[in-house]
Amino acid sequence: MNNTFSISRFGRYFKYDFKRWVSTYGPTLLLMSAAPLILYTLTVVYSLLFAGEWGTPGETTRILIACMVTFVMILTYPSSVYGYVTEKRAGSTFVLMPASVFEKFLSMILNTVVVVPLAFGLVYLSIDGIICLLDGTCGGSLFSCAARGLESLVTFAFTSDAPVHVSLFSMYMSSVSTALFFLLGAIFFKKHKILYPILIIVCFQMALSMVFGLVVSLGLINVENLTLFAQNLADRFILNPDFLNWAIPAYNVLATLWDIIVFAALATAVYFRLKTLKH
Amino acid sequence: MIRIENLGFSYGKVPVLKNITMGLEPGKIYGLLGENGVGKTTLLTLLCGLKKALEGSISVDGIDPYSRNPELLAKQFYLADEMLALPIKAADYAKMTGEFWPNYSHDMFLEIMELFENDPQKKLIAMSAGQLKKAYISLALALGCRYIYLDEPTNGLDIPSKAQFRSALMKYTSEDSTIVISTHQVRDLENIIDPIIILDRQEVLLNADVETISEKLYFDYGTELHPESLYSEQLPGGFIQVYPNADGRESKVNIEALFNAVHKNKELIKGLFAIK
Repeated sequence: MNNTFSISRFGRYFKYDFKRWVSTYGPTLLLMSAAPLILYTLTVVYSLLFAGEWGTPGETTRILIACMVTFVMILTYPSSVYGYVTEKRAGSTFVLMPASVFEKFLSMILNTVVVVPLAFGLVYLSIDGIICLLDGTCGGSLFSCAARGLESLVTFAFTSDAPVHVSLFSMYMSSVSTALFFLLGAIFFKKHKILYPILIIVCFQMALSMVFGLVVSLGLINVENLTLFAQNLADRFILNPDFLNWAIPAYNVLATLWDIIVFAALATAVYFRLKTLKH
Repeated sequence: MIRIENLGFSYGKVPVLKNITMGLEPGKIYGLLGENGVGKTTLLTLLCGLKKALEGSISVDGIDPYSRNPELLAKQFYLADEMLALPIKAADYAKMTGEFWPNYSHDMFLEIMELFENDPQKKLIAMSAGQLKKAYISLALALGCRYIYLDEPTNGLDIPSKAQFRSALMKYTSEDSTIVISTHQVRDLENIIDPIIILDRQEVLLNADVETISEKLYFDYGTELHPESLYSEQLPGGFIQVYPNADGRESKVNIEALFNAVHKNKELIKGLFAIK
C-alpha cells in the first residue's frame, strides 16, 4: 500500500471531503450565490411599495453587490469550509481519517482554489443571467459584463506601440493566493480565524510603512533624488516602445513567477500545518 | 500488538505521563482507569496518533501512530468522549466514512443501530447525546478495526443501552481486536474489561488481568470488618474488603474496590504486581 498517495484513496477522500463541505457549508454558499435573486426581489418589492412602479437593480448596483459578496466570500469561505480542523471533535475526525496528509492537503487545496470559487461563480452568474433573461429591465447580465471587463483588461494598452497583456493566470493566482492566505489562517488559529489574518496584513503594512518612514526620516534615502531618478527613468524608458516591448512581457513573467512562489509558499505552509495538527 | 516504551508527555511544563512502559495484546478489552486528570484521554490520543509522544515511543504493529500512516489509520478507530453532530443522516455518515475502512460492514452498522433502538435515518445533529453516542459506537464496531479506543463510551447512555453496549462489544468485535476503554463508570463494564490498567499521576499503578488480580488480592463480601484490610467499604448488609490473597482463595473482583485499594496502597500494589 502506498502510504503517501494512492489515486483511488484520494478519489474516495475527495468525494468524502466534497460531501462534507456541501452538507455543512453548502446552504451558506447557496445563500451567498443567491444574492442576485435576493437583491432583485428586495428592489422590486421596495419599488412597488414605495414608488408604486416596477423597479429592478441596475447593472452598476449589481456589479457593486457582486464585488461585495465576492469579497465577503473570499474572506469567509476558507474558515467556514476548513476552519473545523482546529476544533477538537471535528479536527480529530479529520486527522484520523484513513488517508495520507498529502491526499487531505490536495483535496483541501482543490476545493479551496477551484471547486468552491467555481461553484460560487457559476451559481451566482447563472442566477443573475436567468433574472436578466426573464426581466429585460435589469440590463446586461453580469456574465457578459465580466467577460467584457476581462477582455478590456487583457487588451488594455498603455501606448498604441506596446500593448500590455495582463496575464489571466497571474490574476487567478493572485486571487487564490488570497484565499490560501485565509485558509492558512483558518487552519492555524483556533479562534478569530478571519480577524487574525486581516490583522496580520494590517500589521505587516504598518510595519513596512514604519520602516520606510524611518529610512526616509533618517536620511538613508533622499526622496528628491529618488523622484528625480524615477522621472529620468520614465522619460528615457517608459514611453520608449523598444523598451516596453521586452520589459512588459518580462515583467508579466516575473509577476507570474512571483505569484507562483507566493502560492507555493502558502500551500507548503498549509501542508506542514496539516502534518503537525494535534488534538 | 501495541508497545509503549518509556512514554512521556506533558502539557507545557505540566507533566502528565512519565516513563510509561507496557504492552497491549490482541484479543483483549483493556479497562483504563484513573482519577480525573491523570492522563487517560491523553494516553488514548497518543495511542491513536492525535498527539505526539514527547519522550519514549509508541508502536502499533511496528508503526508510530503519530506518522498517521493510512494503513494504520484504517486499522484503528478512536471514539472521543464528545462526538461531532453533523447535519447528515447517521446511515449516510456511516456509509461515507466507512468507505475508508476495508472491513466496514454497513449491514452490521444497521444491525447495531437496531440493537440500540436508534434510527439510522435520523440526522446526527438532531440526535440526543445518548443517541449520538450510540450511533458512533455502532460505527466504531461496524468498521471492523483491530484497534478500538473508546473514551467514556457509556457516558450519556441510558440503563438498557449500557447492557446493549456490552453485548454489542462482545458480539461485534473480532477475536484479535485490541480494545482500550477509558472509563469512570466501572460498574457498567465490570464484566467485560480484562485486563485492568490503573493510571496514577504520571505512572501506571496496575496493569494486570482479572485472573492475576484475583490470585493476588482477595475480595471479601462478608459482614465482619477486618481492620488489616487494604480497603474496606460498608455496603447494605455487609462490607466489601480487599486483602492480599495469601492463601489462594477465590473471589470475584470488584473493580471499584480494587481501584480504591490500589489508590490507598500504591507502593504495596506496585510491589505486588509486576508492571508488564
